[in-house]
Order: sequence, then structure tokens, then C-alpha cells
Amino acid sequence: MQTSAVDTETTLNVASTAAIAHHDEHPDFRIFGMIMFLLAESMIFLGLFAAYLTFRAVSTLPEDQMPELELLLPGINTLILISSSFIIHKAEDSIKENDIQGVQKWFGISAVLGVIFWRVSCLNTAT
Amino acid sequence: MNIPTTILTLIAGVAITLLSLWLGQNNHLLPIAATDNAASVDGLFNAMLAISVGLFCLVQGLIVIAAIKFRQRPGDETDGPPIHGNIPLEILWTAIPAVLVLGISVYSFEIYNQMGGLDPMNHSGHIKPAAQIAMQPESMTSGLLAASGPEASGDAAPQPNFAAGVGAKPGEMAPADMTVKVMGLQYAWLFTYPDTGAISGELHIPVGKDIELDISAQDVLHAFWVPQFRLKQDAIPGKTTQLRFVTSVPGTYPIVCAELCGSYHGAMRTQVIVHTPEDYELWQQSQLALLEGVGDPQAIALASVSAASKTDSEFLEPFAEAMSMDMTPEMIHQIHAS
Amino acid sequence: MTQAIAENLPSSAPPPEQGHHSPTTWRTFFSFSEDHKVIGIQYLVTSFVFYLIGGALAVGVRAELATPEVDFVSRELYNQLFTVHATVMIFLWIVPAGTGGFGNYLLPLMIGARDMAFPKLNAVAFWMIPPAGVLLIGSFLVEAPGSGWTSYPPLSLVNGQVGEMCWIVSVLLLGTSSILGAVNFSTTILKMRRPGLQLTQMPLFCWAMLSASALILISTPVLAGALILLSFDLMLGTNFFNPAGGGEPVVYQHMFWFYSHPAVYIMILPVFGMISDILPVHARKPIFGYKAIAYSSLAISFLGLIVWAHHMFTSGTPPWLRMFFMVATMIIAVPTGIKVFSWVATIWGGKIRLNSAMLFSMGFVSMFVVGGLSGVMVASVPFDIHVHDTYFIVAHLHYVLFGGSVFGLYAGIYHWYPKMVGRMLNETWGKIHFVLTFVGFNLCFMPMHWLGLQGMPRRVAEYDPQFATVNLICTIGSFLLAISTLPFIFNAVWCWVKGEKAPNNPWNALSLEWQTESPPIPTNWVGEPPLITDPYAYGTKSGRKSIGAIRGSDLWAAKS
Ligand SMILES: [Cu+2]
Ligand SMILES: [Cu+2]
Repeated sequence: MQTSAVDTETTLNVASTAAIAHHDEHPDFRIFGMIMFLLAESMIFLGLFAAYLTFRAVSTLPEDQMPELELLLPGINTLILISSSFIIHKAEDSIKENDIQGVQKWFGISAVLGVIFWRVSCLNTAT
Repeated sequence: MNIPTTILTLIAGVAITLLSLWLGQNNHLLPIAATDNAASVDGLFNAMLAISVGLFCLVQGLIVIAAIKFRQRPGDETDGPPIHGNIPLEILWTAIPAVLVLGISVYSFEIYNQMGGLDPMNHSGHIKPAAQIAMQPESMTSGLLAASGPEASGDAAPQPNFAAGVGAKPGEMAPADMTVKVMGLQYAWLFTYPDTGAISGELHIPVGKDIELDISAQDVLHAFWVPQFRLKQDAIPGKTTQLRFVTSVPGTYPIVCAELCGSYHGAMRTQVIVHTPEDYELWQQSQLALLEGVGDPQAIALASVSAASKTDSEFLEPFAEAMSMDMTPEMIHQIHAS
Repeated sequence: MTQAIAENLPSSAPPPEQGHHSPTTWRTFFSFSEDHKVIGIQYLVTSFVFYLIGGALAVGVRAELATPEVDFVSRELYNQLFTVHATVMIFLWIVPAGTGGFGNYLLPLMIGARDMAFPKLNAVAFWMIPPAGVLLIGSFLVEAPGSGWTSYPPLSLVNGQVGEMCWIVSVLLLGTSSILGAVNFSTTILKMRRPGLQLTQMPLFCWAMLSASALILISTPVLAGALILLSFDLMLGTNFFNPAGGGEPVVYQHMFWFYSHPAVYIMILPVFGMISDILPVHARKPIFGYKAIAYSSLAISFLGLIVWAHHMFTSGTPPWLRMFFMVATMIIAVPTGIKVFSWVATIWGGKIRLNSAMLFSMGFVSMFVVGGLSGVMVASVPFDIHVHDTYFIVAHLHYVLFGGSVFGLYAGIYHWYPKMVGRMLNETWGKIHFVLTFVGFNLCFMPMHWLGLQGMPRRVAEYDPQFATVNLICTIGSFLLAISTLPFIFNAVWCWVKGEKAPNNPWNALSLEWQTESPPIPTNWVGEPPLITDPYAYGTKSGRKSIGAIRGSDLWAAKS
């Protein structure tokens, strides 16, 4: 049968190249993987946006009754959300530099922004 | 063994071609075609079947021949010839499927257009030709245009509460001879005839007439399917879809719900009766007589419900024929409200 | 085994991880192992268990359909049976077995990597599957989902919240697992190849996995979006898809099929790759048209993204969209045809070993061709209007997913079992398995074409009595299909323990995964894996070298 270990006519191309790098300590591909993952996640939002545009396009509501997209309050909250990443990043930097005052400052700002975010959300849902 | 391979190949090719052509014509796989367009769809199916049978026999034959002819002989541990590819051959088998599917696409497009698929909202029937619109009073014209969207120019402007079905034949400008409103609900079909005001659980239509069905649903998705018409359309709640067709063979054909709509989906069947003109006349008169006797169709339906005073579990037990008339008063009410 | 290899290690360069790897025992397979080979087998065994469950549900469906009346199960239970059957077969069997199982096991071995790019993530992705499966199947204890695997609103909104939420959460978990897997596969293929190995020198399975991963990354999240909106409608009373509140059920269909058509290719592309790798080995001939097959995988994955609305030809889709999706769908026949013809040309003129792996591969090509041809037919709008949502579609999809994917998965198991387990499968039982499967499959699904054409809709618990005889034939076929798994299970379990010991390269194959121990050591190779630039060089004389009983370490030693 094919399982026999006799010398067969099978062939193998073994090109010899100098070993370039060891696989064992392969470089860090986490950034590459993260980009892949983010690309995938952005498809969720692409899908949702497409759905939203379709809902609007096929809506039977007359033009003047179409709900307006709220911009001000959600806009403020979006800004706060985005800026929070940078602020915490700053705070982390301060920790690494042993800068206690810096940590307090950035955490303080973060807390204040958190309160604003919470108030704005309340206002937004109340209306 | 003396016959050259080329001759054998030629014979096999001719045999496969003849077999596929014959099967394409004599397959009897489809039920009878009861509309004009159903026959055209069958022609398309037969053509595709012939091509498919031919390709299947080709691939299958090659595999079986290879399995026999090129099987490993005992003791032979050698490899086959190192053939990595053959550019002309690869171009050939890229081109052949490409040409075939393009051909099928064009053919399908033709049939679809002939069925009226490109005029799925029956605009020619509903929106009057531009010349007539121009003669209407100002207010009416603008109203018409508003109803069919801002840039309605008479053709496929999407109407929000309409979904595309199968419309009038290309070039057909007249409205349909007869319109029936079709309502799908868990688990029955209900047919309303605006001409007479009659309501029935079976569809009655005259043969040879241009019929338009305005299909909608009450609760969940259903699909209106008459296999002998080769026509199917989802019934979507809150939307109306049109199917337009001309029947050619009188008879009784099943109406099947083809979209999963709940536990009794399989029982959601009724029938369409394609009458000869005389029979249709008779049927219509019997309906009118019924209407006169009771006064209004809602009452008839209600009467039939009270006659069949069943419990909820009995209510859907019998098969489709009986079911369509057994409806609760609220159901009937909702149908009329919508 | 591991100790024996350890002696062969070049003392100069023991790979760092080698030291703390405990030997692989049965316990390893129940642990949070980060070894791609363990995870691959975990995927395969788990998904096969779900395959048996899904098969049992299908037998329940067919038993109900043996007679035209509703007599075997209740109507509600019937709907739950086919809903869970489809969901299990797609999300818990074919997708995890094809991508997760074979992808994990083979990719690093084929490209000469020690493991996947993100081993922890890999284990996380696998361990999301058992809870998702338990949730889905456990829902039968409370209330199972019953609105079809498509879960179209508004029916899915009125059919019972508990079952529907079980379905949504389960599918979301499985989708996430599949996305995490795809991130891993694509990074591994693109970044972890052995130095010197170019993309066009990889085995074709890697190309297929790359194409499938791209599809997973692009389309699965859209399904997640649809399911999130659906769960809002279900639990929070929003009206995205509920026409009673002004919603648009057809938008759900678009979002759903944007994933679920590509899902077909996610299920079939890895199998295409496996077949492209199995046929040359057992036909002893190079693959015919390597580049054409590789690029046609990419073409299929691109085209697969722009054909979804062919499932919606009766949903009120505008005519120009129907025409676009019809033509786009038909064009997929071109790259698919290239593959089929290339496979036939590969075996033509070879020295074919008619073993179980080869029989299942040939069965795959024949049965997939039937599904592909009926696929072209249903792409045609006028014809699809007639057969949409009928048994013709049921027949078509089973020819693609069973005759295609499952036959291919079996071929893969017969081919790579010796590598994975280190023991040979019994050929006689394998052939019995093939014959039973082939006959049962065709008996079950071929008559369904006729049923659909004649007027039997799908997903019905009761049907027109004129279809009784043909349905009985289908049911007998399905029982035969159920029985056909028994010789396989017996064979696989028995040989795992008692089978004949497998040599490292029982098929004398040339691709990289065979140039190491069977089963491979935790680091896959002793020292550097060999560089194989043409894994299909059967019958050629260039760079010829006997590989009768060679090991990766020997190759490495010979080179250095
Ligand atoms: Cu139904
Ligand atoms: Cu599809």
C-alpha cells in the first residue's frame, strides 16, 4: 500500500535558503491583528448606517414629519467619549513618570467630564 | 480496443448532447402550465436543465472514467505525469461557463421582461399616461406625482407602501381586466373582489382575462404561490405587492403559502379556480345573490364564523379548504380596517 | 512519543517553549490549551458532536414528513426542529469544522509556523462554541426558537421571546468566535509564513482559508448588527423590523443575507482548499492550474459579497436589483467552474489511489457539481420566482452543503486523520461509510428537486398527499444517512485507540504538514521546518529526494 516506507518515485523540492529568522520569537503582530479586528467591527457600523439610510429612504413619513437628527447634545457626548481615551492615556503616562499631580489632574478632568456626560445623557433622554 | 479515442470521445459527446436535449424537452418535471407566461418559464427551465444535464454528464463521466482508467495498478508506486496546467484549456473552460451564464442571463432577462417583471407596480395600469395627466386639473396632477415620489415620471419611481411584484406585459397600457385584493393572515388567504364586494376563501377568476392581484398580509410574512402559474410573491404586512397574469387553462389549482408564517404554515393552503367565462358568470351571480340576501359581506363572513362555532384548538384543525372561512370577528374587522 | 523526539533535538537550539509542554493526554483536550493542533482537534470533535445532534434533529424532521399528516411531532416542535437543525449544522458544524478545525490544525503546519499568531485568542474563540451550542440546544428544555434559521421578522418577533433570544445570543457568540478565528487565520497566513515561503508557494488550502477569512471579517459583523436590532425589537419594543410599528422587515432580510450568502462560501471555501490538497496526493499528479484555483478562491469571495439579494427575488425587491443580483450570481459559476474543471484535470491521467479520502473527494466534486448547476438555475429570476422557498431549494442547498461541504470534511478527516492521531483509519470501514453516505444522501435529496418543482413548499409539517411516496423515499434516505455515520464513528474511535500506527507520511505527500512526526510535536518541527516551494511537485525530477520515511528533523539536519 501507499503506507510502505520503500523508496518511491515521490519527489520533494527542498530549496535551501539560509535560515532568515527563528520562528520561536516571532515579531509582535498584535497591531496587525487589531487592525483586522477593527476593520471587521467597522462593518457592524457600516451595516447599521446602511440600514438607517434605507429606513429613511423607504419611510412613509412626509418630509416635514421626518425626525431631525439631534446634533448638539449627542455631539457633546461624542466628543467627551472620544476625548476620554486621550485623557486616560495622559493619566497613564503620568503614572509611568511618577507624576502624582499629573495623575490627579487628569483623573479630575476625567471625573468632571464623566459628570457632564451623565447630565447631558439625562437631559437628552428627558426631552 | 481498436477504436481510436477520438472516435469514442466524439460518440460520447454526441450521446451526451442528445441525452441532454431530449431530457430538456421530455422531463415532465413541472406541473401543467396554466398561464401564458408559465409556458415561457418552462422553456427557460428546460434550456437550463439541458445545459445542466450536459455539464453534469461531462464532469461525472470524466470522474468515473478517470477512476477506472487511471486507478493505481497493483505494485505501481510511481507518480503520474507532472502536468501543471494548460493555458489554452484553462481559457476554454473559463470562457465556456462565462458564455453559458451570459446566455442564460439574457434569456432570463427576456422572459422576465415578457412576464412584466420590469413593470412590477403596474404603473401603466395605475398612473395614467402623461397625456391624460396633463389634461387633469392642476391639483390632481400634483397629488398624483406626490403619491409616487418627487421625481415620478411614470416609470419605476419607488412608492413607499408598494413593493415590487410582477406587473403588466411590456407595452400593455390598459389597466387589468379584473383586480382581486389578496390578504394573507395566520393561517388563511382571503380574497376580496372590489367589483362586486364579494369575499371568498378561494380565488375565483375567469380564464383568459388579465388579472391583477393586490397582495398584502395582516400579521407576518406569507407568500402567495400557485405552482401551475409559476408565480410567487411574498405578502408583506403594511405593503401591497402586485402580481399580474393571464390564465390559459381552466381548472382548479392549489394556492400554497411558501413563506414560513408559524406553526400551521403547512396547512395554509387553498385553491384558485380558473373558470370558463360562463362558469365565472354563474359564480359571480351566486355571490351577488348571497350579498343581497345578507346585506353586506362582512355579515356573511361573520355568519359563517358563528355557524362554525368552534373552540380555538378546533379552529385550525381541519385542512385548508375549510379553514379560510373560519375566522374570528376581530380578524375580519382588522382586514376591513386595513 | 514526545520523549523519543526530544532525543533527536539539536542540542544547540531547543525552541524555548519546548521545555514546559506536558505530554498530550486526553486531559489536554479538555483544557484551555493554546496549541493550535489541540484546538483544531477540539474544534473538530466538538463540531462533530453537534453534527450528530443536528443530524438527529433532521431525522426528527424527516420522520414527521414520512406521512402527509402531522403525527410524529407537534407543529410547534416541528418548526423548532428544522430551525435548530439548520442553525446547528451551519454555525456549530460546518463553519467551526471547516475553518476552526482544519484551519487551526493545518494552517501553521502548512506554512511552517510553530503556532497561530494569537494562541490565546485562538483558545478563547474555541471556548465560545460549547456554551453557545449548549444554549441553543438547551433551549429545547424551555422553548426553542421556531422561526427558521433565517429568523425573519415579524414572525420571529411574535414566536416567543425566550427561544428567539437563545437563538440570537447563541448566533452572536458563534459569530464572534468566527471573527476572532478569522483575525487569527488572516494574520497567520499573511505574517507567519516560514521565511522564504511566498504566498504563491503555499498549499491551496491556505488560499482558501485566506478568502474565507476575508469573507468572515467583512460579512459576519453585519449579521451581528442585524441581530442586535432584532433583539431590540424583541426585548425593548423598538420597531426597526416590525411593520406593525412602521418598521421595515425587508431591511432585516438584506442585512441577514449580506452575511448568510457569504456564509455559504465560508462553509465551502475551506473545503475547496482541502480538496485541492487531497486530490493531487492520491492521484499522484500536480494540481492542475495552481494560480487559477488560488485566484478563483479570491474571486469567489469577492463575488460572494455582491449576490445576497438572490434570496429575495420574491420579497418585493426592485427589478433592476433583481437583474443585478441575478447576473452577479451567475458570474460565480465561472470561478467555480474553473475549480471543478481543474480538479477533474488533476486526477485525469494520474495513478489514482481509490482510498476513502479519494472516494469522498470524488464524491464531493460530483455532488457539488449538482448543487452548483441547480444554483445557476435558481439564480435565474423567472425560474426562482417559481422555486423560491420550495423543496427545490432544500435539495439545492443540501447538494452544496452536504454533498459539498460535508463530503469534503469527511475527505479531509480520512486524509489528515493519520497526521492528527498518529494512527491509520481502517479502509474497509471507510469505504462502507462512503457507499452508505453516497447512496443515503442521493436517496434523501435527489427526489426533493422534483417535490419543489411540483409544488411542495419548504418548512411545512404537513403536505399535499400526492407527495407522500416521494417524501417517504426521502425519509428512508435520511435514515440511511443517519446509519451511515455509525461505521465512521466506530472507525474513528476504534482506530484512535487501537488503529495501526501511522508513519509520518503515509501518503507520501509533499506538503509541509507531512514532513514532521505523526502527530506533530508541540513545536511542530524539530528545528527549522523545511522550505517547500512546490507542494504539488508530484512526478517531477527537480530537487528530487526520497521522502519514504523522512522526518522534518532529518531534512533540517541535511540542509544545515
Ligand atoms: Cu405560511
Ligand atoms: Cu445565496
